Amino acid sequence: MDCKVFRERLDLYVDGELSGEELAGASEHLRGCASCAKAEAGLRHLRSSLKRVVNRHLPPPALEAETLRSIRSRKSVRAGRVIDEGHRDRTPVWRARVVMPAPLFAVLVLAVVALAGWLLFARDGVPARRTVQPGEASAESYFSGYYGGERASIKVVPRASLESSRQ
Amino acid sequence: MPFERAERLGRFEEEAVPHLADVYRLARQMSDAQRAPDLTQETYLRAWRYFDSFERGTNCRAWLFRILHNVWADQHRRPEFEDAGVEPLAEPAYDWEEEFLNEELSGELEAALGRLPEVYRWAVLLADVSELSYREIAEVMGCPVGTVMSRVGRGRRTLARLLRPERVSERG
Repeated sequence: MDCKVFRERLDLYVDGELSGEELAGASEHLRGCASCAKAEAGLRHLRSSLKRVVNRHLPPPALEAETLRSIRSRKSVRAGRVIDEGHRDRTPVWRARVVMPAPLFAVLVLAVVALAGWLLFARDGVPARRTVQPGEASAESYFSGYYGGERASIKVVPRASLESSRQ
Repeated sequence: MPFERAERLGRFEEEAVPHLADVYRLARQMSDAQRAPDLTQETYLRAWRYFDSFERGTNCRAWLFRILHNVWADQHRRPEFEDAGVEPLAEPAYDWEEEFLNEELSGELEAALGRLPEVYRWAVLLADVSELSYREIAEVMGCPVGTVMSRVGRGRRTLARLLRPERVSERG
């Protein structure tokens, strides 16, 4: 490896990104070249200075405690999915689990049963709408049943007897 | 507090919180002393939100830096190469003056770092201060490893030039 190639590889060498033959070649060149050894030393000096300069800054003493307090104040996590503020639960509506307390569930079941019972039994007395056929009611007859919860009767009078009563 | 949440919080405190100072230092170099605490806190709140996506056994510090990079990018919202107008050198070599090797650099180095274009500053800080591998830097910055290689090299050379132009000569 000559100086030109070594300088091109110098960053990789210092960063430990060389391996195998390239690493061996760079190390060998470095041992025999004072100029490149100085370049390498300068780069390492720059790196260590940078690290020292940046690391002398310390975070404000309360930052860690404040950050943890903010995190603890977030809402809970359920079933491995974060549901706290600012983050939408991405489960589609049709796949979402419905969670409700047992007493509410029992009340809902009772309500459904009661509604079904009312539909089956309370409305049972309501007669179907029907048409009186000609000749069916040759004499006076009554149809009765429950209408809106009240028992009602309809008196059917044959036309002939109606007309005779008018005369 | 439900057990599940307590366990998650315990793991977060154990794995993520010890890196808070490193995240802060990086945030400070990429912003300033006033904004760095907010950047750090926002990074940790986002990390907590997505902590389930962190793979145990991988580098948690690098994972936090990636989140910091995203938070920082969200707040800056500027094109990658838009910066203070410092042009990186194309084909420089490292030739230092003798006294440079023995000089203790501090204020001037930090000032030069502040003038370094942001993409190069990220790359140099992650390589030299955080000592991440190029592959990890690529994940943090969301770019190919080859781009990292180029940014680290150019960033250092530009930094050296900014630091003391007369001390580093260009060699074609």
